[in-house]
Amino acid sequence: MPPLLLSLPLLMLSASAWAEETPSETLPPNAITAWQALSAVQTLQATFTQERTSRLLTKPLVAEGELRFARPGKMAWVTSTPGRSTFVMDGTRVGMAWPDLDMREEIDLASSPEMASLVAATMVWLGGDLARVQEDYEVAWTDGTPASVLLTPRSAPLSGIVGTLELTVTVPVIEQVVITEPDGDRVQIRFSDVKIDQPLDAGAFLLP
Amino acid sequence: MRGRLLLGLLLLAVLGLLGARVEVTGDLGRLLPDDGELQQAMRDVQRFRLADTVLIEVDGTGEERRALLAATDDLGERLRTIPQIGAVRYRVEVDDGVALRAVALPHAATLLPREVLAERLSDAGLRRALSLQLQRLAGPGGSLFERSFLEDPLDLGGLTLRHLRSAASPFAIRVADGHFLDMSGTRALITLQPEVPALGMGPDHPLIAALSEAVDAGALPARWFGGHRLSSEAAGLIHKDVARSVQIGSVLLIGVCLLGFRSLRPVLGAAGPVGLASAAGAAAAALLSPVHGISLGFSAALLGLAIDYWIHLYVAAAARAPEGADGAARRAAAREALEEILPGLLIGAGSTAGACAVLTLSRYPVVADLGWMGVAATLGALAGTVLLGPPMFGLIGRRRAAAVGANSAPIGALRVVLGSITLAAIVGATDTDVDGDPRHLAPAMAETRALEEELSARYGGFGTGGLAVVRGPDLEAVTDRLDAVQRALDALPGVDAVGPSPVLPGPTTRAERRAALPDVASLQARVDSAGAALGFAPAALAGVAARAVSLPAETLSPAHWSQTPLAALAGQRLLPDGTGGVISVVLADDGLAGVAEAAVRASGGGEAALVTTGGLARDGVEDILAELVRLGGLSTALVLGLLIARYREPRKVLAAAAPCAVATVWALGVMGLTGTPWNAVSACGLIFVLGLGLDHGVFMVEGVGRGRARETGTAVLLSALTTIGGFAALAFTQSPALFGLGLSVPAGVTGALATALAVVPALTRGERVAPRWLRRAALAVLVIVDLDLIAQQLFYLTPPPAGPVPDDWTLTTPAPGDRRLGPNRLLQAGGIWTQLTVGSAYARGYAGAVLAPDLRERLEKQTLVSFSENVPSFLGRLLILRGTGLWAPRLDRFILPEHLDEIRGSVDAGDDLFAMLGPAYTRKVYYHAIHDIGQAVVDAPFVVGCTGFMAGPGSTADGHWLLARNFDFDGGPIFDRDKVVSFVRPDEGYASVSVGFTGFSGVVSGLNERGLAVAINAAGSDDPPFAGTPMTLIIREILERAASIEEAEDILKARRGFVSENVMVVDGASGAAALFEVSPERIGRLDVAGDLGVANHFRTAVFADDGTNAWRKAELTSSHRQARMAALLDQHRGALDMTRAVEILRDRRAPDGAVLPPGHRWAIDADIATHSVVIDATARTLWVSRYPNTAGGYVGYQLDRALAGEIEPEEVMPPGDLRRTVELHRGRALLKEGRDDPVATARLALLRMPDHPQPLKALGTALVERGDCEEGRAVLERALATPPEYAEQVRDIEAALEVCP
Repeated sequence: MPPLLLSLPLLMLSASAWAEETPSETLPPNAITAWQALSAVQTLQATFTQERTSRLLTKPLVAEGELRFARPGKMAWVTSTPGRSTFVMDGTRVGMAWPDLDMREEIDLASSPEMASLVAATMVWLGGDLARVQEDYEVAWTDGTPASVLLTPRSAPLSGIVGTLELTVTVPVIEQVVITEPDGDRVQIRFSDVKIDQPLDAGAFLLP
Repeated sequence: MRGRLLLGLLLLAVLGLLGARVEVTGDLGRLLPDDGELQQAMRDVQRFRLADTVLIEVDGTGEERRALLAATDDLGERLRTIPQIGAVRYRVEVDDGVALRAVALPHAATLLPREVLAERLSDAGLRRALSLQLQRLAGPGGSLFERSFLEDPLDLGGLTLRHLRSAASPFAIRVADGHFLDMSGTRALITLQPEVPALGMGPDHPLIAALSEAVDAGALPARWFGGHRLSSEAAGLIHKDVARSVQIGSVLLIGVCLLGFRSLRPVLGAAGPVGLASAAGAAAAALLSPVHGISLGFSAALLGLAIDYWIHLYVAAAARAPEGADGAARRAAAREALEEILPGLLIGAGSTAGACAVLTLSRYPVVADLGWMGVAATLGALAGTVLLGPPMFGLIGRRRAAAVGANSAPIGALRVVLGSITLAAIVGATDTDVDGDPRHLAPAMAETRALEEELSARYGGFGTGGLAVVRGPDLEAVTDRLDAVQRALDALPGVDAVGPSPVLPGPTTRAERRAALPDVASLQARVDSAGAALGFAPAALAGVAARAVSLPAETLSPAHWSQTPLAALAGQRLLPDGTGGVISVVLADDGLAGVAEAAVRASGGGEAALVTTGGLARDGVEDILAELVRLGGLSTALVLGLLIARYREPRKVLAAAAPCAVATVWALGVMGLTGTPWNAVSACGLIFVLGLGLDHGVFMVEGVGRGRARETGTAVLLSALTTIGGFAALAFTQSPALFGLGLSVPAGVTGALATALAVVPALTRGERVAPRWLRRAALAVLVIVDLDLIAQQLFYLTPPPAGPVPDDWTLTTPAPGDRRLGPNRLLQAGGIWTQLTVGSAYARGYAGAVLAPDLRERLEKQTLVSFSENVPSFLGRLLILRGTGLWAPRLDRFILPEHLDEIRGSVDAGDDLFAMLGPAYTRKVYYHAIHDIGQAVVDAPFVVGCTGFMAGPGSTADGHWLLARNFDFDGGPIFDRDKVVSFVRPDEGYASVSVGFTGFSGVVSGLNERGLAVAINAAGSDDPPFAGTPMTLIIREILERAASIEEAEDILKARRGFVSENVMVVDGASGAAALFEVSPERIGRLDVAGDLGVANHFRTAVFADDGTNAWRKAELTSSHRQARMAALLDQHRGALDMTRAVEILRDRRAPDGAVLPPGHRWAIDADIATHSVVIDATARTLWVSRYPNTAGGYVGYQLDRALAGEIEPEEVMPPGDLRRTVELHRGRALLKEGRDDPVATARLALLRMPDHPQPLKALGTALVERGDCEEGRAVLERALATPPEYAEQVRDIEAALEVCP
């Protein structure tokens, strides 16, 4: 189960909800406006390019694909290169499939309390529970075009996984996410061809 | 006198006290023979606790998935709170995978099969594994994935888990949303292991109540099933049976006494003798305790037996006591009567007790118990009558019974009725059946049996179950043998085997796998190379090879798996002391049992045996018949011995024995006429009727001898009625074991009674017993039987002289499945039988029979079964058999001498198990005409429906000539499973290969060394069928003697066949092909240009006006299949090859390309092909399908190599969807069975044959007949839309719809 990256698109889309339900006094007015705009997004479809720099690899690993999201909690991460894979989640289960390898796995979140709590956390972000976000992260907003949001974990367990998480936002679109991990690995995800509130196919969140 | 009374009362008290200590058990082991495989199998089931898993199905039909899952979780949690239940599984836990991985990963090198690990560690496998890891790193969650990557870069853990899961669960269950669901996803399964064993569980056990309560309280409907349910229900039903039968029996006895005596006095007076008999029976049961509940069910029958002697005494005493006599005078009269009838009483009691004593020798504990109880009760009744009878008679007074005259007017009529019923019983007795399945002895609720079948159908327990039991001195030896047996079973198509081998491989397997591991250094180099190519850092893959091939010091044991989902795989299938193991086996059909049993025996080193439900039933039948022969023989000897000792006069012996004979016939007849099979318990009814029949015969002979025929007749009548009443009470029970007794014994005793009253007095006096017309009728029957015997002799065929067989031909078996006789060989390999025979025709026939006695026996048995299924009436079968002889007398004159020589050789080779059906040679010659006779007599659209094609240059990719065909013959799976690819190298004529059956000299598909391929498809014409040469032998002649199409045509013209056939001939050598349309009187020829599809009707101008041919085209499925074949040939023209030919033969679509339901007869592949063959006549190669039908894959042969001795087949096409095919077979079998509840049967069949018009029609019709118009109409309309297969089906459905407009 991948709580960190999984949380990113949800975080992007749920940001507005924080402002909508629990406006933070520490965030500037522009930030609140931005979160409100983001909170209105019901569906999202975007292509992505992800570049992972890892100590396991001699060169950056580039992946391309498509992200789909629909409120309240459906997400699909479909990779076309370096190989075809699909990752879907709907809040109660996650599924992964590698069609070229004829493999698929499904996991029921309810069968693992630890995993469920992680996913629940991502769902809380999606729902706009800013208080919960601020419990886990320090949030820093920098105005600009695009604006920048920096999240730094507060708790030790979380900081063992995530160093910092930086979002680049041109409201209402998240343009880029950069994750820096404690061991120095770095993941940069750039979004393009973003379509907001377009109808999605019924099968958009199913495993192939 | 007072002393006798006191002794009687003392006996009553002592036996009564002893009898109060009876203990009852529900142990099924008491219903099985005390030795042999049945008992062993039961002990194994108990030892391995395999019957202790309970299955719960939660039905979410019409509900959202979320609701189903919630209800399942809720029920699962509640079940976990029941104290008597251990493990409950209703969802996949993430921890399950973690626990499995933790155990499996360190042992991956020995848990993974050699070929699986070798593939993973090959260069391609390494690239594939590392590519997958790269994709995981590239996906969301890649950061977290790094940790598991570093632990297991080659993903050996994942590979091992996938292998273990697939090996452990062959059933139709899928994991979705973390739960165990059926394939439709609308039902969820929960499995649980109660702490208490299923066997012997009573109906009041708290577990049963707790389970039922939990299941009933669920949010969605749920049902549970398992050994606990069967055991508890059986125990409950038996308790009810005992109570009900005793109540009914008592009422019937009192009723008989009241009717016979019009007084309660005899009933009251019976208290002493009956009480003593009951106490004695109970005391015997106490001494034998624990006895099975079924034995106690016999109590009601004992009541009927116990009162007999008292009635005889009462009637005799009443005749002697003067009117108004006081107590003393009545006692004196009773004593006088007792002295007079005592010899008869002693012989009668001796015969009954003797019959019961014979039962004590039974190998079935329940029958032996019953025998001991019978002996005790009979002796108790005798003692009670002797000791307590006179005082009781003195006490209660007298009432004369209505006398039955021995020579009164109705006797003549009674004899007529007796004779008529006996004749009917003889006819009924010919349909007597024996049910040897021990599970059928115990009662079960119909609802539970239906549930068992439904669950079995839904979750893929698609055939019959079995256990392969392995024994050994320790765990290592046992796991070694389990591995060997598992491999042998895995190699058999249609067999699913689940044993502990995947999780506990034996030492030999482990050593083999270790020996196959690659060198660490070279593996690491290859890993580094593959990793570098994909961009992995060298450090990330350091030490991977060493870890991959590392072997932990500790050997796996069952304990390792105890905390994983595979705990049951090891825990339930291995004995704790390691001296035994078991593999659960599911066979696609019962017929596979023989092959599987042989495989288990051969692979288990003499320490393994396969016990199947089919095998148990078969062994049970043999056991029962053996018991009947042994015990029946003993009883008969005892009866005759007693009679001879007593009378020493043949006339009286005959008179006294006559009721026994009639009783036996009536008992057999009533069981046959009512369709009630004998079972292990009810079979002892035959022994009872022998004893009881003698009882009545002796009393009558004695009475006539004393000049008291009328008085004795009265006593016999009343005592027989009480016996009938006692046993008839058992007919009201739900236990099949007791029910049979309740039918057969009353019937037998009724026959004995009628004989005793109507025949015995006359026989004793030496008078004629039958009117002239009856004697003449009997004579007529004898004449008919005699004529039939003469007719058999007239049609007897004289075999040709036996030929020589080389002296050095000795049968050897160098390896399991490899049998050799000189240069001849029969090989079971690659899932198919392949044979090579050489030499003279006689020698080849002889060799084929010596090599395959088991195949011959199975085939002939199945042939007879199929014959009985298609012609259910015995008379009908007899008429066809005799009619064939009349229609085609001297069949051998149409058959070539060398073919007759071959048949003679096969007859001379071995024992003939079916000699009672007629001389072996004559029988086998006529078997060769079965194809023709069946087609001529039945023209059965449901039996034969072959489709094929011929194709050559312009149609095939390489210009070769192909002949491809499905031989559809729905005679039973054995014709598919035991088919033989037979290579023949004769002394004279061309060598060839054909696909057929052992012992069958004819050919339906074949190829000779000159490249001539031939095949026949059944057809029909107006030409009347004539006796002639069987078509299959004509085709055989073509293979042996023709090298061109013209030569084949010459043979077809020279011979006159029985019936009409499409004969496809392809000449691969010269490059030509032709279709010959052959009827008994005409031949049409159609040369093939490019390609031609062929089904089951004619198309040349010769048959343009033929009515039968037109009917076949319009009414049957031939036109649909031929049209589809033409469409496929169009589609593949120019690209046809062997692979595409197989694709065509596996096609399941309608002519317009629409997908048909599996098994639809419009399809080229309707899942009935006994064999499917593709022949490349140019290259002289052929591909042959493996069982089942076309789904088992294909194996290939090259003719020249095979004729040189290389007959090992090579797999050329992998299996298809085996499960779908065998499910379909089960569905068809269900429809054929014709059970009591047609709606339930059709629903079950529909589960296995989804959307098929046959079960839809059956269900719709049954619903309409039941008055359920709404659903019936909907189902019938669905059947019409499928579409139906035959025009007749359409008419039937429309007619049924008219009932519910």
